[in-house]
Amino acid sequence: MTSAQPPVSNDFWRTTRRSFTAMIRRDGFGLLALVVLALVILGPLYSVVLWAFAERWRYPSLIPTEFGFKFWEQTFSRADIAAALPFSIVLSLVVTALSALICLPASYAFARMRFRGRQALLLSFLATNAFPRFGLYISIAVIFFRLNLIGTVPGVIMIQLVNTLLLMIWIPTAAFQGIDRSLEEAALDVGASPLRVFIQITLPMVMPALSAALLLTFVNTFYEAQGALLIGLPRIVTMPVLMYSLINSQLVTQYGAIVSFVLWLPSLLLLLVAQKLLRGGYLTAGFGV
Amino acid sequence: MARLDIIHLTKQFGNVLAVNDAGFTVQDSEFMCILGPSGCGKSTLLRMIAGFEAPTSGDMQIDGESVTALPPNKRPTAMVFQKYTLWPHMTVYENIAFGLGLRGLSRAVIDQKVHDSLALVSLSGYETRYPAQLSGGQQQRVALARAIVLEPKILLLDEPFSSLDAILRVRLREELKRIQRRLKITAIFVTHDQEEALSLADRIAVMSGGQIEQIDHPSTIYANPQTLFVADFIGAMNLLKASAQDGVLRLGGKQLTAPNGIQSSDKITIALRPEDLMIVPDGTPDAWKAQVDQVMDLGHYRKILVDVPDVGELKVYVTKSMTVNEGDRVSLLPIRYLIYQNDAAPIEVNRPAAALT
Amino acid sequence: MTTLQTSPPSSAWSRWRGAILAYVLVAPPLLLMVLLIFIPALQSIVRTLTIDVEGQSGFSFSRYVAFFNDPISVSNLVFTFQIVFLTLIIIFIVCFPLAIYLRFAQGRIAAAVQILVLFPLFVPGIILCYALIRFLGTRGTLDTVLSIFGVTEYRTPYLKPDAIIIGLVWESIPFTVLVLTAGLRQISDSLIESARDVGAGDWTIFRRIILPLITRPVLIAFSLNFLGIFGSYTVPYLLGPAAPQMMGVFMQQTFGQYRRPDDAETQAVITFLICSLVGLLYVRTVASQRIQQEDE
Repeated sequence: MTSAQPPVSNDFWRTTRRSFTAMIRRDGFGLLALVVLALVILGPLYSVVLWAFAERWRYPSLIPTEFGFKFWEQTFSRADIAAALPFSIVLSLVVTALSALICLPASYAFARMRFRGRQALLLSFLATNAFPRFGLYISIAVIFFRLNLIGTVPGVIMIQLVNTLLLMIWIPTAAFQGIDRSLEEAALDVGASPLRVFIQITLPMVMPALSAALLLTFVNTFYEAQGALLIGLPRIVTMPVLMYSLINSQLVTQYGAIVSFVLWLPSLLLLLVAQKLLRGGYLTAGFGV
Repeated sequence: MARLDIIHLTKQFGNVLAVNDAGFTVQDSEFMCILGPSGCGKSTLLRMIAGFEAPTSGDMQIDGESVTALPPNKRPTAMVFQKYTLWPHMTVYENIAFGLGLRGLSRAVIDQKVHDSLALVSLSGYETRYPAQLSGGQQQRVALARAIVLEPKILLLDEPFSSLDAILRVRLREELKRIQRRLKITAIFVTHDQEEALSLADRIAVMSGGQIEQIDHPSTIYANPQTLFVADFIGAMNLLKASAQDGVLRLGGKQLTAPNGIQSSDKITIALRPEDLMIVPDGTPDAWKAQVDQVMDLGHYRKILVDVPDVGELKVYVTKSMTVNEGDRVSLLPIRYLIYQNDAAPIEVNRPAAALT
Repeated sequence: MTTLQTSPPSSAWSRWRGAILAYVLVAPPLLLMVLLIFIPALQSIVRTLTIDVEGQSGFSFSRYVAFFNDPISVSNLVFTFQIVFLTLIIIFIVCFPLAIYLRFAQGRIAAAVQILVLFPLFVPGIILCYALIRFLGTRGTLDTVLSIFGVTEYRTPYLKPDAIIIGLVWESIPFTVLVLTAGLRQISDSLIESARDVGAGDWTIFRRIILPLITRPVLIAFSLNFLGIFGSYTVPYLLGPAAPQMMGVFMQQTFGQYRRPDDAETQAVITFLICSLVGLLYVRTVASQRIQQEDE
């Protein structure tokens, strides 16, 4: 990738549709990028997926020496994993629900109401991104330490909530702002009450954005490891936190691989709707872009 | 179906007077157009009638009952908006049935009404489509059906065709007129397109700067614009600065007969329609000498720009049978014009037809 | 909902009521942010600057003096800077060509490249680390592949600074490319075509037309990546060497293992101060972009 020419050639601008062979001939950069990216991006994951289904894998074989599910049983019969997985799921659901409860009414106000300082207050949520994350966690941890919130569920919930604010405010705010007001006026005009307009007209139209915000928040929270590690240990162990110890102790390679594989499933959910998220501009909205 | 009275209606945004003391009556089954340039307050006026804006002062009455205090969902009006405001998550059927459902009608009645209204706008069979599957013209027809299905006392239309292309605009305009005639519904149509207003309206209200300038039948508005703004805004017009002294009207070096009642002043404007300037044989008394600068062929007639020394450039319409070329010298005779003085109603001057021959 | 109904009476009182309701609605998330971001940060700053002497508290730089006199702390800070800058440079070298390619190219290859570029977004950091260990480690996949080609002298970057950089770049690609591509899409084809029309070459177009028009996306990508890398923990902890450490790992150890929250706090405040300029740059850039969008 690094050796690539700046790929600004006539071809990108002048030609629209190309035959496949002509494309390969002309789209040299694309092909190069494709091959390199495939190796770099998919290579590491290749090892994880195969390790998850390997009974035995001796060096220097490219694929496992023996495939099998033996370690799956072992993995999920481990007490720590059996406890952490449901806990992680419930925790993420709770955090997502709380975040929605706190943020959605606010995002409606930001989008629709006129009040002094609206723009500045909305922008202030960028602060969640403007600190070096781990430094901020340390500051919070010091306070939680004195409040005895270290190693408690409320402590973990709070630190994870901080991470969800920007996304849960900015995406819905943009969605509410994006709705043409005359669509609501038209409903008022045919006799619907303001509440009915909100429920039957406004809400269905912001639903794609709201579900994107909820989904992204859930997945982000599910994978959040640093805050949970710092605030949660030793009593609260989420799946990602457990991964740290699985990696560090390196008992059985397969444990880590299987947990990684299982942990990765919610992300697959996101991957499936990635095109939609991308088109709606939701992926970048979480960064305040 | 109903009469609307607008009484001393005023709307102020900050210190901008969007609508200034509007007052008029729209009769039962009348088609009224509110015409004006953008920002003249016509949309604000319509939105006050619909209930989306609260007036600063004044009253609105439908069939003699005040509706000023009612929110939009309680008013017997229905509006067709400028952009296609169909709810994207509902089918055509659901869009039209939404308002009916709120009125607690039975399923069968709703079915029947939706069906009838779609037939009225020639869209039978489109019930299950979503708005995104319709063309712009079709969407606006559904919006119209959605408004009239509620049998509103007053139908409000806010530049409903402005986002459509020219041909479609004309076709929908004709369709709207036909539907309005058939249902005998009272309609108020806001537009900045004078052709649209002239062809649709029973009466036109011309607005400018929040003020209603004139309310009249289209032909009267065209023939007798009561203010300089209307004269300039409606149709093509030559406006000429002139002065009057001792009963003689002077513009540039030219003289025109001044009618009785004109006062000496140098702030007079003469309004002269392009079709009221005739090309006459050289030597006709009182004719102006002019040179043809430009000839534009506009289909069934020609528009020419002529330069009249001491007066300036004028627009003239001539029939196609007359040969005129750029550079030609011609003689022009104004046969009808309006004289505007101060803010008073204009004085019309007609040159007797006999003088032409 | 209240704003939907602008109908009468629109008195000063009802406008007041609307504003109060708005403040009530936006208060909970703001409060949460103040409590969990601004107050902890401020308190840390204040406390690291005070010292208790016989029950009397006074202003003092002593904690900072201690930090900068400790060779381990200083070397960790320097190490963090090195990693941040090296990683940033590599990110831009990798992502700029990809973004330009994705903006202008069409077809199946471009679509495939797009999917691959976005892919890391859907791989959580902790799984990435595990995957990279399996991939880059001794006797890992890369080692295996190389040995098949006869390369036996494989020296793994795992537990070396190189592995941190690889992991951080891997994580940053999707976001950076997304932001840059979004910026590039704002530049219309006609703008570039007209430049080409007057005889500008590719390089001139890039430097004179494209670059000036995407300063904002570049600044956002730069600042967020800077902050992200500076505040990272998982990648340097799992892939990096035991010493020197990046600040995130260093802080966690000071707090969690050595149980010295005061020192961890000093380290945290130092990262705040270093990142504050970049943080401000980020907020300003996003703010100006947003205000411009609302004006349109």
